[in-house]
Amino acid sequence: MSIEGKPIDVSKGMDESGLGMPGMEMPRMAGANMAGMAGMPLDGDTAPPLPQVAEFVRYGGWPELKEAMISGRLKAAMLLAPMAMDLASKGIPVKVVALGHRSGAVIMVGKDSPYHSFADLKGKRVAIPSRFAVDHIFVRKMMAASGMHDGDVTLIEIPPPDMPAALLAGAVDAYATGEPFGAKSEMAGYARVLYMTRNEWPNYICCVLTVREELIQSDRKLVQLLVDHVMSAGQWLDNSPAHRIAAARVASEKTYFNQAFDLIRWVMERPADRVTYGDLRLIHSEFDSLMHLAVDAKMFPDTIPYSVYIDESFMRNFRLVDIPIK
Amino acid sequence: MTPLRRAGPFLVVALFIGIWWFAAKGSPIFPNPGQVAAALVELVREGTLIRHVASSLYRVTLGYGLALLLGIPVGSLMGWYPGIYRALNPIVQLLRPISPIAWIPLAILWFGVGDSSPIFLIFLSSFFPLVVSTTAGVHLVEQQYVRAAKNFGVTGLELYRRVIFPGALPSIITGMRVGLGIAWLVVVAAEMVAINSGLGYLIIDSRNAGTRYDLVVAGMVIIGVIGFILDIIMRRLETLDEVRWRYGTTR
Repeated sequence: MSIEGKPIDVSKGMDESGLGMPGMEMPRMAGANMAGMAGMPLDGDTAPPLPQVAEFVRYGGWPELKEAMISGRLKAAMLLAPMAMDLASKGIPVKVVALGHRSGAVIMVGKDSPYHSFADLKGKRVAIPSRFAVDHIFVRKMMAASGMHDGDVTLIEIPPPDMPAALLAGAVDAYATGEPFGAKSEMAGYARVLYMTRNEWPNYICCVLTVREELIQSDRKLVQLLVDHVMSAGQWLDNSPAHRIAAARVASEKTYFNQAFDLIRWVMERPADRVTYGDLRLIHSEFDSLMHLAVDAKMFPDTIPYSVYIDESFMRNFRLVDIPIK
Repeated sequence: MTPLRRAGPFLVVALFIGIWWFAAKGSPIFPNPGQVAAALVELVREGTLIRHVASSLYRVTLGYGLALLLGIPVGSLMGWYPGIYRALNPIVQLLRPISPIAWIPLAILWFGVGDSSPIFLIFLSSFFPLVVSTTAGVHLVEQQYVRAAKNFGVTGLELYRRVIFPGALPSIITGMRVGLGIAWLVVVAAEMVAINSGLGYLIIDSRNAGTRYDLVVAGMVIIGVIGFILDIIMRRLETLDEVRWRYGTTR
C-alpha cells in the first residue's frame, strides 16, 4: 500500500557498470532499506497501519539511476552528492534532503606492495570510479596532503566491481572506492587499506538522499516520513553493534545488495566507524567545502549555490521513528 | 521513377530526422537533431572527435585483424578435417553466443586496463562468426573441383590455395562482413573497460558527466555513420570477380 496510491522508489545504484558506484552502497542503502522495511505493511489490520514509505529498487549503475531521476520515473534516490548538485544546477527539479552515510571510502593497495603512504604512489596508477565520484575528490585530497600536483599519479576510471581484479592483475597500483569493493579484496587477502576516510576525512559525504521537487510539493508528509526513517535508521545503525549485524543480514539479501553477508559485516565492523550513519544531517559548511573541492577537480565549471540543490526543511523537522528490526 | 528512387533514401532519412525532432520535444534526456549537430561541431572544434574515432578504429582494426588471422585458418581446418570439426565445434558453438560484456571482468584480469582488453573483446566478437562462416564455406566447396584438382596431382597447401580457399571465399567474405559489423557493434561495450578515448568511451563518459546526452547521441551517430561506411567497403569485396560467381547477380 502506498500513500495516495503512488509508490515512490528509493533507489540506489549498485554498480555493475560502474560509474561510480561507490558502493557504500550497502550500508548506506541499509539506511534506505531500513526505511522501506520500517514501513512494510503489517499483516492484518492490527497495529497502527504503517504507511509504506518507499519501494526499494536497485539499479545496476549510476548513469541508469541518474537517468531514471531525470526522467521523473523515480521520485527519490540515493545519488552521489556531485551528481545531485549537477542535476539541480542543470534545472532538473531535484533537492537533496538528507545524507545517506558518512565516510566509507577507502584507498586500497596490494598486500605486499611497497606503498605505505600516499607519497609512495607518485607516478603510479590509481583507479577511481569516475571523475565525477567523490572518491576522486578523496584521492585529490590525499594528493594535496602529500604535496602532489595534477598528473603526479595516473588516474584510471574503472567500475568499482572491477577494481579488485584490476589490482590483483597489476593493472593498477591502488584503487579508491566506496565500500564494499575495498573490503572485497581485503577479505580475499591480497590487498590492504592504505587510507580510510574514517581517519583522513571522517565527515566525508558520498551518497545523498535526493527527491524530485514535484513530490516535495505534492506530498511533503511522505517525504518527511522518508527522511525520518532514513535518519532514524542511521542513528539506529550507529547505536549498537548488534544493529549493524542485523542490518548487514537484511542488506545481504538478494533483493537488496545481493552481496555476501560476511562482506557487509566486515564493512560494518572493521572498524565500526568504517562507514557511519549516525549523523545524516545536511551541514552547509560541509557542502560548501565539498563544492569547492569539486570545482577544483573540474567536476563543475562554477560553484553551485547551496540553496539550488539543498532542502533543509525535512531534516529540521526530523522526528525519531522506531526501526522495528531485530 | 529514377529520380524518386534516388531521392528515396534521403526522404526516409529526412522523415526520420523529422520524427526525431518531434519526439525529442521538451525531453530532459533525449536531445533533438539540432543539439546533436551542435555537439558534433563542438567535438570537431575541440579536436576530440578525431581522437575518439582513431582510437576506436585502431582497436577494431587490431581486434578484427587478429580474428582474421586466426579465424580463417581455424575455420579452414575445421571445414576440411572432420576430426578437427568434431573436436572444436562444440566449444566454438558454446563460446559463440556469449556477449563480450560478460567477458569484461576476465579481460581486465588477463589484459589489464589498457588497449589490450577492448582489443581482446573485439577479437572475441568477430572471431566466432569468421570461424563459423569459413567452416561452412569449406564444407560448401564442391567435391568435383576437389576431385578434379587431385586428379591433376594438386594436394596439400597447394590444393588449399588453389581450390578450397577460392571455393570458400564467398562464405569467408560474408563472414568477414558480418564479423566486422559485430566488431564495430561491440566497440561501445568493449570501451567500457577503462580507457580514456574511443567512441564507446565518449558515450559512457558523457553519460557520467552531468546531462550531456547530446554527446551520447552524437557518439551514436558517428558510430552509425562509420559502420555504414565500413559496410559499404565490405560490400565492395563481394563484387570482386573472385567471388561473384557464388552470388550470381550483381549487387
